[in-house]
Amino acid sequence: MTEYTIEDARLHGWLADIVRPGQTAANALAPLSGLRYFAKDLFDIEGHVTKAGSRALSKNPPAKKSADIIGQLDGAGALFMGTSNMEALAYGFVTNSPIYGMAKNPFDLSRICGGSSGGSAALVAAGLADFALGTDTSGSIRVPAAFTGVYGLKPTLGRLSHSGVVPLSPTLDRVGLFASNPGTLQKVFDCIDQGAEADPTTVPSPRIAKLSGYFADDVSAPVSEAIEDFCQRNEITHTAELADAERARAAAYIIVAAEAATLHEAGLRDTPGLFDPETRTRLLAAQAIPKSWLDKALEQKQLFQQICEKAFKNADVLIAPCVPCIAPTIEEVLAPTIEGQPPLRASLGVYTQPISLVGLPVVALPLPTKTGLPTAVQLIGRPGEDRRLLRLACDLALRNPS
Amino acid sequence: MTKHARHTSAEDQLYKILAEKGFVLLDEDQKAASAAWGVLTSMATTLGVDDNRPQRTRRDD
Repeated sequence: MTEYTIEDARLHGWLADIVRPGQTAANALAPLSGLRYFAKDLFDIEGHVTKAGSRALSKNPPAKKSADIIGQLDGAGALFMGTSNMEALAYGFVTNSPIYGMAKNPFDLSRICGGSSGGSAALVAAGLADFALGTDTSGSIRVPAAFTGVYGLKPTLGRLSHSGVVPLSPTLDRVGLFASNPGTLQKVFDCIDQGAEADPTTVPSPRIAKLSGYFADDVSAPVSEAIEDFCQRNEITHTAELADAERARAAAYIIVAAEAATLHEAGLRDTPGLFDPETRTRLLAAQAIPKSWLDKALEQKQLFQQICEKAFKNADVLIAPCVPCIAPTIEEVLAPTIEGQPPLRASLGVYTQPISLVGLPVVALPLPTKTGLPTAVQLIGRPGEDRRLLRLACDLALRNPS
Repeated sequence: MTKHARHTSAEDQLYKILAEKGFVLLDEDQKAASAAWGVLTSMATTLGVDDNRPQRTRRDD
């Protein structure tokens, strides 16, 4: 890949407001000493307005204190480099902020890098950061991780602090991480994890099953071949099925839409012109979601939880594609929508949204494709088994050198 | 009732609800809001809801 500089990062739409290159570590013995990181534009940084990629929040006062996780990382010696571009209000899979522009894919600048945490993923992929903070509500870490070929972690709820982070959907939001390698992902997670999971070195090797049915339908050839190849190399022969995945996706979609509509209701009424038109119209339509839909979606959440629990009786880790295709071109995602058909960008979360509904921890593990562009596979674990998943990602990376 | 007529009726209901709730729907927003409502309706149908018309009362109202 091309070597990139911070100036390139600005030019290609990976940065948001704050850039602080050249800081030095205060404590060379701290566990994350020397590791450079960016934070998605929705983490509070003391003294700065947290815009979440949208003008709708630009009138807010500056944050009085930084998000807790920023303080944890500072304490561990990591170098905060600045904030990264994101899709407005974290509501979408593209990263085309009305403030910071379109984030281009470092592998091919004519393509998107995915979203909503696209700037974070791109900065890691371009070698300008060792790790980056993002959030994942419907796939906002896993989709850009796949398109840019970096490792991503969407942890179990409660493992990472959400304090000082702009929400989209409190039920499904997860703070997470990107890193250029699984060892860094594991090391950073260890420093900020608030959970009490047992040492994963004491548990036996996990049983892995590939998800079939919904998660194998409509996968494009490059992605499907990459996953087949991964399964063959790692002797993954078992399959599992999660029934009702399509309904689970629909339920996740409706929960996120309804909760986002509630969070931004006052802003839509008072300052509609500050929202970019696409986000505004989606949030407006969601104002009319009936209560009965939400009830049904929450009912589906419980049902799908039981389905997943059943699948985890015969497997410890489930694998599935992160995305249905390689990164689309910018031209493809900006093309006018054909009437009666959902936009291409909405379909990018087809394999991440069902998993989001039940909050399972996921590591996105990058894989090469024959096209030269990357993709990624989701390593999906039981709730609370985040460290075990990270350990598996490290083992798989050793067994499958890139 | 034709499919088109049902669609138009849902759109009208959506615009009416938004106006009642105090939202300003700009002329240029109408088509996009209808498309966004169309995606929501398709998700609701997949979910198996009994009634997929827009309504004024949400969970938190």
